[in-house]
Amino acid sequence: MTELFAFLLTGLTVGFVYALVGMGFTVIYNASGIINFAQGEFVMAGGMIMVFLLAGGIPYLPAYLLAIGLTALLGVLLWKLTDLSRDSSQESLIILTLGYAIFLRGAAEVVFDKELHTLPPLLGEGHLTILGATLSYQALLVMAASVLIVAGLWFFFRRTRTGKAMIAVSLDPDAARLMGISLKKIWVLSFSLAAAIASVGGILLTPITSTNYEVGIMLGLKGFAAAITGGLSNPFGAVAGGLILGIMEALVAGYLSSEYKDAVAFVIMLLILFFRPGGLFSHRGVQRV
Amino acid sequence: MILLVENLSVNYGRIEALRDLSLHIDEGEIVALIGANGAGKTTLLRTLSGLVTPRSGKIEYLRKEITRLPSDRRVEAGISQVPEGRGLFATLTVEDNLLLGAYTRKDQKEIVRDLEEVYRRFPILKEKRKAYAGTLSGGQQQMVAVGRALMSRPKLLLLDEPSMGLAPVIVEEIFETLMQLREEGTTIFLVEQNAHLALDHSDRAYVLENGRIVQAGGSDALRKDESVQAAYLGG
Ligand SMILES: Nc1ncnc2c1ncn2[C@@H]1O[C@H](COP(=O)(O)OP(=O)(O)OP(=O)(O)O)[C@@H](O)[C@H]1O
Ligand SMILES: [Mg+2]
Repeated sequence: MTELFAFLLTGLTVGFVYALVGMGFTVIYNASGIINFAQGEFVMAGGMIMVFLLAGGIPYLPAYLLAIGLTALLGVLLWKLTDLSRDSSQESLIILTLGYAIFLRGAAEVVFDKELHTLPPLLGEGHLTILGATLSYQALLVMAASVLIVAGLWFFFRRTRTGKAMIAVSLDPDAARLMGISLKKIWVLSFSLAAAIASVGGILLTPITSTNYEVGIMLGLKGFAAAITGGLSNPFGAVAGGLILGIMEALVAGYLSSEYKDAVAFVIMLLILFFRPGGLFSHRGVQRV
Repeated sequence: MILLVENLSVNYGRIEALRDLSLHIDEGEIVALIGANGAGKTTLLRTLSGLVTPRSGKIEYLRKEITRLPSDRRVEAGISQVPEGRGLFATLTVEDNLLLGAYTRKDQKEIVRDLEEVYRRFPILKEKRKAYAGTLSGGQQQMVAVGRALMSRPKLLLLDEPSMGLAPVIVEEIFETLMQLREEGTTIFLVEQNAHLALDHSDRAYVLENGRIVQAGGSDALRKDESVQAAYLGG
């Protein structure tokens, strides 16, 4: 029982990070129809920039904000690249994001290094004990921050003018333009928002799992699986998708073998693509585009 | 003159959708554009709103050239469109749809007043304001589309086949609203396949065939014109 509970907590913690990455996929996809395969590299960038800012003697809070801001800028840069080739097909834009991911990995290797790095936990090394299972303060923080971000995004999409404009763009870009919504502004916003959210995940996860220039590959793919599971155009579906993946992974790693852990996300994703291509929450199995 | 179009040509790849098209609209007028399927009517309206970039030619609005102005700036300047098929945001509420119509405006108080004004024009929309736009009947959706276009306080209102697929009673109601709007000073450019309806409710009209204006004149005169009668008014 305690064991199961411990696995669940581990799964939830990682699952929330997958959820954040997955939401980034959906936010960009909704605004532009682009699947951004550099999403995982934004997680990596957040963690790595944070590591090196702290090493450079910058205090925690400014470093935090700077790491998020710089990663958001990397998002804007990606938008700029897609904008420069805006007459290309959707497929070539997706390949462009793959190229950008490789570029970011290479840049991280050159600018930083190839070592594994970690960060001091924000709230110290302490932990809670719940039903006999331990939960570190840092894991708790990952969950709390993720819940806050999800709630914030919910508020943004449901209650604010700009959030509704983003929904309008995803539903009917031409009609949105007739409202005077600038697609360009919405695209810039979606790329920077997706990058910023991912960077928060990266910064919070690093004290738990460590980071290096390559961590984005797996995190990006897991986040993509989360988005597919929840439906590529449904940010809140991606949250459910991320949590499901995280928990399944933790259970497989706990009860079978951690060797199979990474396969879980892809098995689930393939099952979804076969049986419910619009995601778990689609009504008719169809999706945008 | 509120709108002046000169020698406008629009291509989709190799397809020539509009060729050397010229027309003008004076302030306070209702001008109709009639034409068959595929004549290029929607293309013209999309070009006027900035969704399509012309290959050549010039568009002037209130004496300023807007040929390459981005679509959002045109809405801001007072050009608003009710698109073909209405273009509602189906999974947003009626009220959210209407408010998105005021997206370019900042005068919050006035926006609220204009929203009430739309509800006064179309009382059923007030009842349905929390409903998803996609759940409304065709007629109610057209009211949302018109109301939403009005929320930007247009000087020039472009309508793309507002009668399409609607019952005659509803069409009557929509066109009555258009007549009221004209009384209030809005200039209207009305695109219709239903030539009877268009000529009955306009001051002047243009006839579009294969991307070219082939006839122009007062709506009454065009209604009596033999070739117009033969082609568009069922003999
Ligand atoms: N996006 C597009 N790509 C290529 N060709 C197009 C596109 N949109 C329209 N066309 C072509 O341009 C021509 C004009 O089309 P348009 O939609 O403007 O006509 P219309 O008068 O509005 O017709 P309808 O009465 O059916 O609405 C048609 O031959 C159409 O096939
Ligand atoms: Mg048309």
